[in-house]
Amino acid sequence: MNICIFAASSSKIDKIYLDAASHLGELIASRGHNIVYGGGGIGLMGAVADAAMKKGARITGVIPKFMYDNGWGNDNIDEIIITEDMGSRKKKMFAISDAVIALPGGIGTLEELTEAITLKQLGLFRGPLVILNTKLFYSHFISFLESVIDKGFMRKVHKKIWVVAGSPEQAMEAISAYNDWHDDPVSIARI
Amino acid sequence: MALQVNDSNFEKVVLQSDKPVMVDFWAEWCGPCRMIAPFVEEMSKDYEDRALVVKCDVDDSPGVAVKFGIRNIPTVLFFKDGEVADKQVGAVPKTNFVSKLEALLD
Repeated sequence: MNICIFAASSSKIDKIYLDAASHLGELIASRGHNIVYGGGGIGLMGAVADAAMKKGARITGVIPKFMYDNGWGNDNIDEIIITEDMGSRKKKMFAISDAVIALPGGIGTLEELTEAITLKQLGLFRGPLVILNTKLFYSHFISFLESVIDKGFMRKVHKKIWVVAGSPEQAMEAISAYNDWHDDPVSIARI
Repeated sequence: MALQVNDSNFEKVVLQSDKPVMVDFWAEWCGPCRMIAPFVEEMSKDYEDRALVVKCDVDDSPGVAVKFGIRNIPTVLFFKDGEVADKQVGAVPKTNFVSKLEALLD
């Protein structure tokens, strides 16, 4: 399985986030899966890719040309796919991935996570979507999504789009145990 | 040791309890959680006949943490008849927990 990782490029963060990212990378590799990610060499992106690569996973980085030209890419990985821009990067990542795990991150990661939720709501991505809630990072965001649902902007059933994991082990279990959240998502995409 | 509850047993142990329940939401990485841990242990013994005082590791129990909107820890929730009756966020003196739990006792 190709598991898509959305994660921070920042390294100026609590070590607990880096440790969880590395541990997740090891678990992905040890279970025989491969990684698709944003192609960066530092932060949580670098941590997950490096740890998975050391344990034998195949790593594919998908990175926009301007980022690669700025030297932000990780040249140690198995494959780098260079895209024209940010939009085509995400499109490519979803196209070649079977599952998504969102780790903590900044606005770029949040954008990727919310696009994943949107695509699942519309039935355009059908794989598991796991939010790794290391150190309760996403708890405010998840509460906000619940308030969006409570106010009628999304349906209650849309809560099934994402699964929240407290640890890397739980994230892997959620992927193994996944059943599609709805048979025909587009039929209930409009509120 | 105070009883640990999780996603699997929360419904049965906490929500279906016929006594008031105090739940300390904590995690290994949380420094302030360690400050209140001794109070929680003491209260689990002091109130063992009249109430349940339990702990819930948010890393092990993401479902419960999401369900009850736990965004910062320590958060202590007080349940009565399966409903949240009171809440205390942060490391505060033991008397705060005692008075909130006492208020729920018949």
